[in-house]
Amino acid sequence: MADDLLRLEGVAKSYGSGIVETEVLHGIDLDLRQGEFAALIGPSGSGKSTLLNLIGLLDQPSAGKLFIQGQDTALLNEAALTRLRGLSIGFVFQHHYLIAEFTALENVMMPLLVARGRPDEDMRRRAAELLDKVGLSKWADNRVTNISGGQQQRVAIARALAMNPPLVLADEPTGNLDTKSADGVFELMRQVNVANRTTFLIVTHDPRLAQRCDRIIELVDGKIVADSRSG
Amino acid sequence: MRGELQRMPGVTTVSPMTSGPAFAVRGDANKSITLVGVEPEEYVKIVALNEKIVAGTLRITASDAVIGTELAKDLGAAVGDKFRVTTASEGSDTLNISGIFDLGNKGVNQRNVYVNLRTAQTLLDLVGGVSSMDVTVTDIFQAERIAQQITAETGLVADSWIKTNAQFFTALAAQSFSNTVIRIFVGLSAAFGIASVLVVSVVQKSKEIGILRAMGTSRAQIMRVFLIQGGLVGLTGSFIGSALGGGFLAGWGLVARNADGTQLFAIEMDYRLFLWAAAVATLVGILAAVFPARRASRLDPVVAIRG
Repeated sequence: MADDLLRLEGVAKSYGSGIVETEVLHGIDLDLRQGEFAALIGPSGSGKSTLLNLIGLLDQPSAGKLFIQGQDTALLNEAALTRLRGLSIGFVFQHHYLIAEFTALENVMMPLLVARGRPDEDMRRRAAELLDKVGLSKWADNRVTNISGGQQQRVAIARALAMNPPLVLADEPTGNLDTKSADGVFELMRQVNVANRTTFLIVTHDPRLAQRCDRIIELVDGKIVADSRSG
Repeated sequence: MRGELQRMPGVTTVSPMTSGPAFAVRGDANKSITLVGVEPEEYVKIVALNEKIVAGTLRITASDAVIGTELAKDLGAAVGDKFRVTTASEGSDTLNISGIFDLGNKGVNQRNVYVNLRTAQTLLDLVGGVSSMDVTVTDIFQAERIAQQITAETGLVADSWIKTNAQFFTALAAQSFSNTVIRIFVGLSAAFGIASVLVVSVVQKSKEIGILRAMGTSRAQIMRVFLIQGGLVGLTGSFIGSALGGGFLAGWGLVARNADGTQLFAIEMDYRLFLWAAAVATLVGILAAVFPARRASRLDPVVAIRG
């Protein structure tokens, strides 16, 4: 399909080698289209995080093919994978992983800084815009250790959006938050999805949140057992 | 001959000297002395006689001479007094004492009388002749090579301080060798120190490194961060070390003085040494950072973020 952002064909991942080799993902076929808002659910140990790492180009599949925007990622070397990851994929983790020594604004600037090397006014403006979008303008110059957990996760989302990536991968983004903050963070991702047609793939344990996504992909024992679109 | 020496590479000063035995007579006192005829302007570049004058001034002319403290005592003379010099070749002259020196050696203070080169030549009946020439060189450890060159080119007997003080030179060479060894080990231990600090910081920062890698930071960028950090640690260390070292040396120079107020030994502080130290320390820091930096750049982001 032409508008496929992401396509997996028979992707498998195994760890170890020889007799102790264990396959955690078996022959995964999956398509994600531009603008989709999908939840990835499944019990612990079903391979959700492994799948997310493969899609995020943090890890390589043992078998099968992974295409991002039509590009076969098996043909890319380490440096090219890193570049593609920086440009095309934003990450939000369960823990925010903001860098404690910097302010909220500087953390949001970080991916731009990595890509362009030197800070400039344009970066600052872009980061301020993003913080405004996640409702944290007031906290821009605060050290990230001085804001609440929900606010930290919002900063992390702003950071994931800094390069305006077509795909955002979120691994339990609300796992550490209370219900109210979790709702806020979820709503924020939804807004970005609607406004920018950014594709989201969200790993979650929370069935309530999963129900609010357009698509639910269920993974059990390294296999996709259900894939349903709503609405 | 003198011009020839002066033109040799590495030679800084040439001071001709005529010396010979004589008697100093004043009233009833009659003392055996060594008459040393010099050109004062050149001679002070080799022996800082001007700094050793304890009374009067260093003025060596046709009629003025400087004598040692012991001889002054023996002759019962003070600055401004006159004395008579006679030699075996029947030369004789009356000289005015313009200054009294203390070279810190009783024998020298008792015997040496510094007079003008021409005066000495006349008194010793050696008109136009010199008995020796003192030569200074830029690099003191090249002295022996230059001495050999002088002998080869002029046929004169040239002795370097290295030859005339062979034992002293051996001791000095051993000392500078052990100095080098100490420096190498200090450099090595500093390198290991920096490396271990950086390894710890790689471990502590592995989550941040992982997240930066996830954001698209290349291995080369991660590596550069740690190499720069190593270099900065080395550079900062060299600044602190130079400040401490310079401070201690200055303090030592104030405290360690001879009884006459001159420095116990000359301490030379060359700013180039500090620049060298900074450059070498930065380089050592960067080299020490290579291992930790490689480690950081090869961190698996998945493991780093999860761990």
